[in-house]
Amino acid sequence: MAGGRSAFSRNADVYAARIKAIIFGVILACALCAIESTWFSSIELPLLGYSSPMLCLGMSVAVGFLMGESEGGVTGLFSGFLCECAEGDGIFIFPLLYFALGYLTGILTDRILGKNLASYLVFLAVAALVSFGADILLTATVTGGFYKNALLSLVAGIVLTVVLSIPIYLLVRLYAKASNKQ
Amino acid sequence: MRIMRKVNKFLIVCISLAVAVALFSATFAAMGRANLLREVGATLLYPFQWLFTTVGESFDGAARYFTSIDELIEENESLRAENEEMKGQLIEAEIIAEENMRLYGYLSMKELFTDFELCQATVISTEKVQSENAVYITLSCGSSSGVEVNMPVVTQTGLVGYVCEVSSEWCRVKTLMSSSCVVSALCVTSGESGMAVGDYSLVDEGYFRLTEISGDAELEVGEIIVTRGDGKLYPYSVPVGRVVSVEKNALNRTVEAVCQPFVDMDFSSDSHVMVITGFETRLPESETEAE
Repeated sequence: MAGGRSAFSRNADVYAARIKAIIFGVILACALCAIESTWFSSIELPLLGYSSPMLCLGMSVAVGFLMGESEGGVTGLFSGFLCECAEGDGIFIFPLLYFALGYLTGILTDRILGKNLASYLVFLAVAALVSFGADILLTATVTGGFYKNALLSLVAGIVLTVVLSIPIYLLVRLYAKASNKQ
Repeated sequence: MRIMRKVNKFLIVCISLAVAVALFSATFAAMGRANLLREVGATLLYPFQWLFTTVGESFDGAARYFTSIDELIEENESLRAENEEMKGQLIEAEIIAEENMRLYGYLSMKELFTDFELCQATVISTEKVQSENAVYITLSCGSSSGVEVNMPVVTQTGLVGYVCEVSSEWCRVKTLMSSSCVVSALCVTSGESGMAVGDYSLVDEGYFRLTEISGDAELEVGEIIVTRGDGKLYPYSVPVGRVVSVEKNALNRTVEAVCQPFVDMDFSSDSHVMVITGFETRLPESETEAE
């Protein structure tokens, strides 16, 4: 008793760390979603035309990639919900989609590729392809809208998502390292 | 198999949650409340969106300042040139407005005296000639504008005098303040007649004299004097001045009055006059009836 910490104290530390992680995740998800819907709502790329990045997807994949499948899944669920609220069409399919992508990233990370930036970008590119593909399909089938040039928008969206998610990956990695040290 | 083992309770809960959200949104949409869930999320996002929009606009403004400095300088120069041009136009507009106001005054005179033919002129100079006990003004119009000797000169407020000398581009006017300028005048209220004549001793005070009024006349201070119009030099009923003081001349048993002309004979504030180049002779109604 005198030499070690009590079980209550250890549990308190675990809960404090979880609360910190939740706060960090909520704030980062809100900030990224807000940035996505304000600064990057429409970006023009040469030859590819206009598109917007999926920064919340980048965050979900980064969390799943660096912290594990559960964290990735929860982050995907929450950030997908926010994205749907900010600029979705009201179908609320993105929470499920982001959850699945964040969770799968966590599971597949160690088995397919190592934990480095290049692997993350590959995962993210595939996830973005799935997400943009689903978005284009949903737009065409359910909401009755259309993309003027779907293929170019898809490529532009993937490029923007991959490039602009690098700082997000570095930020999440920084947080993951800091929390591991504690 | 190892991947499948990962599918635990947590995964089921999360999938259920995501499906539940999708189902709830579909149900709310069917109920006509499609935006209910979106409003919840949008409320959470609103402060962040406001923050990033504000920051974005600030950076955008600052970046535009530095990137478009040449454009701004060019725009500034063009605006400055435009400003100078506008200033010129403003001055022109002020001059036109002033002239407009003056002509509006003459228009009311023209409406009152429909038979008047007027020629606009500017006072070039004023001159007091003591040897002649006269005050002259020189105008910017002459015979080329149809001005002739003996034509009356007025402003919108009253009589100035008559043209005594004419050149092709200028003319000289003997004003009411000159002792040799005699105007047959009529007192509007009392109906008394007299002669308005300049008195050089009153020139500095800006007055003229009304003489040859019958001794039993009841002239009052403040009475308005107009032209009588029986001498054919001046038209009938042009305002001349106002009685300032009345005194009796004991020698010839007449009444004399000192009067102030309606026109400011210095022409310091308004240097525009009109020469009456033509009018029909009219007599007072009483005299017309007598005839």
